[in-house]
Amino acid sequence: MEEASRNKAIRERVGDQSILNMAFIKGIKFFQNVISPVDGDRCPMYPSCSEYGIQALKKHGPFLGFVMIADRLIHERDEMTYAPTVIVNGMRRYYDPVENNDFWLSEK
Amino acid sequence: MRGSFAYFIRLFIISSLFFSCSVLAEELKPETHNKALIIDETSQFNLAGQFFNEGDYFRAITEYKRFIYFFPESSLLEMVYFKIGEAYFKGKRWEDAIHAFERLREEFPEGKLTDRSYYLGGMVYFYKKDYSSSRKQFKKIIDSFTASELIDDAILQIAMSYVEEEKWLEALGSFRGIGKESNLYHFAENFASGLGEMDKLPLKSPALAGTLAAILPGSGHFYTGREKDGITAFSLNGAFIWGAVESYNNKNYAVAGILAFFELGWYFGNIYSAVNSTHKYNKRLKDGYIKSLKEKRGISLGINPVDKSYYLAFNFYF
Repeated sequence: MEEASRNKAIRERVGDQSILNMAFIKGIKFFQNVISPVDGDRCPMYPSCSEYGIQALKKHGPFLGFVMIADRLIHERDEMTYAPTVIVNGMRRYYDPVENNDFWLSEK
Repeated sequence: MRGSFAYFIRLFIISSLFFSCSVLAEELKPETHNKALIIDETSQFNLAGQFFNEGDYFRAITEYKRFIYFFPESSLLEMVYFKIGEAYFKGKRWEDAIHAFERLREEFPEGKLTDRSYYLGGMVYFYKKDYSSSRKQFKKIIDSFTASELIDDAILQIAMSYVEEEKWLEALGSFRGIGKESNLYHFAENFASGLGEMDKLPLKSPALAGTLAAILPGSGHFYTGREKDGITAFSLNGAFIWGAVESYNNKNYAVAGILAFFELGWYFGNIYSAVNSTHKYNKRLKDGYIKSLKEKRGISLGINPVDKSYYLAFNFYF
C-alpha cells in the first residue's frame, strides 16, 4: 500500500514518459520556444495554455491530456468570469490550474 | 623645575590609571554582575509569551526551548511544551506542530493540556485537508476526555470535516450530536437544517451536458450557462469538420487527415469541457451555499457553568 502510494507520487512528479506523450510535450515546447516569442503572449490564463498542456499531459497521459488541452482552449472565454485573478510578471491573469479541471475525476 | 613637572605628570597618569582600574573592578564584582543577569522561570516564560503575543512565533519557540533547557523541573513545563506546539500551529508549520503535540503527550501522558493538544492537532490535519486524520484527533477528545470543555467544539469540527468532504449525512449526524445546553447548539442546528435543504439546490447533470455536447457540440455549454464557450466549441468543431470534408472531397487526403485528427481533439474536448463545466457549476453552487451557512450567525442565551450567570452568545464559524 505504502509502495503503491510512493510509486503514484513518483509517477505524478516525473509524469507519463510514453513516446506519444513525450512527442506531444516536445511539440508544445517547440511552440513555447520558437513560435510563441514571435507570435506574442496572448493567453490570459495562468498557467499559460501551453504550460497547462504540458502539466495535463504529464499528469494524465497523451489521450486525456490532449482532450484537456482542447477543453482549456474552449473554456477560456467564460472562465474569465469565474476564475480568480493573479498578478504574474506585472500582468493580470485568470487562475485556472489543471486541478480546477480534473478534481471531479478523482471523486466518488 | 622641569624635573618636578614631569614627576607630577607621571604621578597624575599613574593615579588616573589606578582609579579607573578600581572603578572597573568594582563594576565587575561577581555579586553585582549576577544581580543584573538573574532570569527566573517566570521572566523567561513571560519573555517567550511576549514574542508569542506579538506574532513572532519562531522566536517564541526558541525562548520556550531555552526555558526547557534552563528549567527542566519547572511546574510550567507542560504549558511550555504546549505553547511550542501552538506556536508552530500559528506559524503554519503543520508537521512541526504535530511533532510538538506528540512530544507533549509523551512527556505528560496524564497532562491537563492533552485534550487541547488533540484539538489543535485535529485542526492541523483539518487545514492540511487530511480530514480522516483530523477526525481521529477530535474523536480522541470525545472518547477519552468526557469532562473536557472542548467536546462540543470537537464534534463541530468533525461535522465540518464531513462538510468539506461533501458527506452530508455524516455531517448531519455529527451536528445533531451537539447538545442543547451547548453554545454551539444553535449554530449546529442551523447548519444541520441547511444541509437538509442541499437536495433542493438546482444542480445540473454532467451526464446530460456530455450527451448534449456529443449530439451538438457547444450545446452542453449552453446548458450550463456558458454561451461564449458554447459558441467557441460549435465554431471550432464546425470549422474543422467542414475543412476535413472539403479537403477529402478535393482529394487533399493528408490535409483531411490532419484536420480530422485535430477535430477529434476538439470533439472530445467539447464533451469533456461540457461535463467539466457542469461539475464546476455544481461546485460553485454548493460552495456558495455552504459559505452562506457558515456565515449565518446564531444568537443564543446560555448559562455560565462556573458562576451560573446568564449570558448572550453570538456564534459564527470562521
